[in-house]
Amino acid sequence: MIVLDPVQLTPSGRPVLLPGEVEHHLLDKVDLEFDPEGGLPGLLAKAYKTGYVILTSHRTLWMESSASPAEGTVKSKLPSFLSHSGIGSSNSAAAAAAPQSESAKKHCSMPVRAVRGVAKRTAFSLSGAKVRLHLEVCVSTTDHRPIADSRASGAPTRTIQLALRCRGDSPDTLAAKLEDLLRTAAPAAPQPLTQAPSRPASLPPHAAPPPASIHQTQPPPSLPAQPPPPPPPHVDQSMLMQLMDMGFPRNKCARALAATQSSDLQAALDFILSFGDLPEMDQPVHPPTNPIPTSLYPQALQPPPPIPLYPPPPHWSPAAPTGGGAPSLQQQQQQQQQHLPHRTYPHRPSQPQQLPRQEQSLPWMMGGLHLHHHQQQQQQQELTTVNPLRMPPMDAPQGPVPTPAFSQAGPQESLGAIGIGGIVRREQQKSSQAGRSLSAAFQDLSALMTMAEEMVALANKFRAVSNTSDVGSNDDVLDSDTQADLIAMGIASPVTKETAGARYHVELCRQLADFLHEPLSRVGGLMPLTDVYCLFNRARGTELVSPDDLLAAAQLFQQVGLPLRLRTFPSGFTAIQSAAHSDDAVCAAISQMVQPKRRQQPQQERQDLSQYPVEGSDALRGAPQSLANGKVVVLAPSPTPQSQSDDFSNTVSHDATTQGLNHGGEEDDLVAGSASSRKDSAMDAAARMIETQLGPGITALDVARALRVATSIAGEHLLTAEARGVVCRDEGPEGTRFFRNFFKDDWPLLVS
Amino acid sequence: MRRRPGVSGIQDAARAREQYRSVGNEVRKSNLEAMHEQMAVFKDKLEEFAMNHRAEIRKDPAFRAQFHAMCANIGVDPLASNKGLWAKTLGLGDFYYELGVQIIEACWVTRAANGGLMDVRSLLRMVNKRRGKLAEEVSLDDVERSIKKLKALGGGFELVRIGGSKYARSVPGELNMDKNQVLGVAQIAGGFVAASELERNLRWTPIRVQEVLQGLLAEGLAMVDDQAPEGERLYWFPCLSSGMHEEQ
Repeated sequence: MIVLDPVQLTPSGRPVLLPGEVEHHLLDKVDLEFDPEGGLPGLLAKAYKTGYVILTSHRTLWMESSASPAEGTVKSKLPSFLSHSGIGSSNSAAAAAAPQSESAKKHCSMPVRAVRGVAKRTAFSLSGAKVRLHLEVCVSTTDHRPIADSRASGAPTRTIQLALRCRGDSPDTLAAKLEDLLRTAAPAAPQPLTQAPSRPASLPPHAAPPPASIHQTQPPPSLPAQPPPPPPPHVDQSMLMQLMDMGFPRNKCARALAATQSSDLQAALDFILSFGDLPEMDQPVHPPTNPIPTSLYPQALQPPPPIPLYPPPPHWSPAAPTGGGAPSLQQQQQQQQQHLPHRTYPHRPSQPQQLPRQEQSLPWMMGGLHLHHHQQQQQQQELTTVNPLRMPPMDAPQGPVPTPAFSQAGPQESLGAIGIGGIVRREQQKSSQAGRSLSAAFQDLSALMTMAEEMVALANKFRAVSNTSDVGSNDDVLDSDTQADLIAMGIASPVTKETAGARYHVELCRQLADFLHEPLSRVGGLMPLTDVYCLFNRARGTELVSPDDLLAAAQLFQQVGLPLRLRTFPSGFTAIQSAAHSDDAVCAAISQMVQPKRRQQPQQERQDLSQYPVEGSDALRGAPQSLANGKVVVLAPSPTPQSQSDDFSNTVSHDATTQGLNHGGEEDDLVAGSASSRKDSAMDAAARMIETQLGPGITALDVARALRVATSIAGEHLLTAEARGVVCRDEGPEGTRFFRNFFKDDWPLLVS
Repeated sequence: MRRRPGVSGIQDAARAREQYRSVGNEVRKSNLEAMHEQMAVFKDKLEEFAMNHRAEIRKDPAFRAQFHAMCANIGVDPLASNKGLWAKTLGLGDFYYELGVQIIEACWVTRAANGGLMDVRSLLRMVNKRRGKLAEEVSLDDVERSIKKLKALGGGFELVRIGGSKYARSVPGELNMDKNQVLGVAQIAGGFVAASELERNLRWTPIRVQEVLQGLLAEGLAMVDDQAPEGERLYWFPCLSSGMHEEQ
């Protein structure tokens, strides 16, 4: 019995990948068979049928294949067990909408490292060959979940068999890739530096930590072995309070004290100043993790002589001289070289620094702490001259050394390593470390691969700094906003033919829909296919998708059930439009625009309207009054006599003002007979009345303004609306206007 | 620092703050310079790697994602490759597709400034800069071939010849919001507009103005008036006249 974890889906039905997770392979038409039963909690079954398997760098996913995307879309109301034939589904249920949807999609996942063995077996029978890929999965006996790292968990485990019945292509490639992954993953079992609190709760806590979280640093895989387990950190509360009084946040103080074993306040303070700006310093202390990012010390370099400030903590091998003594440089270097850089206390490297010329260092440190001497042998350090900025009279003998220490000989009185000089020096150390790791990383490709994490973090830092600084280079082609957009849009795991196989176009279509969601909303719902091509390829990096593939994927939108559409205009121009631009939405918007407005009629109108006797039934007679009251009546909902309906039929043409009153001889006389001064007002009033009943006439420009599109597209939309019978046109000297299609209404217009 | 009583103590404290601030500024500036140097080195190395090791990078998906993240942050274009022999003669390979992506990107970035019409020479310059120093220079011929390959997309991207020089038009007439802007200006101005007025108010290039006005004429929204008193051709927009109906 095995219980698997659910997989979250994006709005288009693709699985949500963990940070740093990359897809490797996809195999279509796979059933998942359990022994004796298994699956998602609450949806246990003997087998999950009709799905496809995705192998990623972290997990193995089984996704149920269905016609429509899963829970992300608003429109999918059909329960999935009615809409598709899949009965047994993939192991992960869509956790997103599970509570509401009646159809529980069974999309499940399992960490890759829980698989212990892979075997392919073919069973021949009368109905054909059945190919099964058997996976041996290590499961805990208590909660039946797959366990990736059985040593770490400690729970009793057993191995059970999971079979993937492959009805489509042969699973050879999948098996090979799975074995590759298991082989490469097994030896490197990096210990997470910090517990990532944002990890999805569904993953077992012992699963491989997501390696590519940008803000985490890991010890490089070249670490030969785990450092000896550090003694449980002891955080002295009184020291903690003292450190917090100085203004440092609590977590930082706790970590510093844990790292230095609460030996000395000075040590902890120094630790904070050295490593205080690392992101993991702000996370609470976890006892078993190694809080020191040892990756900051590139192993390839010689461990330089340290700068011990004070008596080193007890577990440090006592080669560093304490304050006062002055062993020769040679001796010190020898001693330092014996050290391995694995220790919980930072082995402070005093590397050759490039201090700028004008650097001033201040020896003092706030807080009145006791300063110690320390040794410093810097090959190129330029200790500044007597510091005029020194605070007035501290006559403790920690003055800066007056001469630049270019010579290697002799001890040098050092500046207080805590204090502003210390901070300054630390900054320089950091930047020179970065420079060194840069040159180390780019020696060759494999070096870059191993140090990729750091490089990504470094690149991130560069960009952040150069964005905020004014000393920016202006020859960047893309401005920072565009660059930030491009970075945000990046697709970590693009769908390619290798990773997706037979489902390439469908998966590409889904990834495209996910990707286009934000850019489309920014440009107003319609984006030319060329722009889509450019943005999508930029997001994918070097994995280009050809124009033909893009076109094929875009044509699948409707089939996959996504709200986007590929639209071709009469001029041959193709674009992808979002649901907001669909014909239905546009027609609804246009019909809204042509509805008569509700307006308060001014008093004058009322008088004008009452000039015109209403013929017909009493109900009709009431109509102008209701108009006069300010409520617009579109139609008089009472039966009209036959005679009047004939007259009404030719009342509609907006530019024919006098014709609008042409109900019959009576009205003609009335109009013709009115005084000329009243003729204009009569026409105006009549026109106004037409408008109140008929509604405004709109042009392409109005639609363009309302929908925020170009005028050509607005014209197209109006033509579409006309074809659907929402509006009718009126061509006049000012151009074509469109009105509400009142011909469809039950009661024709009342114009009296 | 030792606090001292009295006025001198306050003065000392003020001086100290000043000094701290200046030191802080110096530190920050020196840090920044060091960082810029390193960034330049990073950029060069990344370009070199992107050029030489493309195949290996593409093979490993996890590393590829990290490489792309690095390139995106530093501003290096990972798509800069060199044409092989076959690409040049037969048009095979990814080179023209990559160039297509770079061309469209260059047009997209400058669209706000030039309204979708980009001069081919400045397009070439921008694309070459984006490709970095190590990549081969692209020529006009490459650009034309690449645009031809993009025809399948039907996106309206084309090279047009206006007034003797070539332009790349990336915004087709259907999506050109310039017309809306011109109509907006005309409405404020009383229903008509002159080309020089548009150039002045909207700060557009003459080419762009001409294109928009021709487009409006073609759509039937504009009428030409050559008998204006100033002698300049005026464009009238009948659809803007409010007539009897109020515009909302």
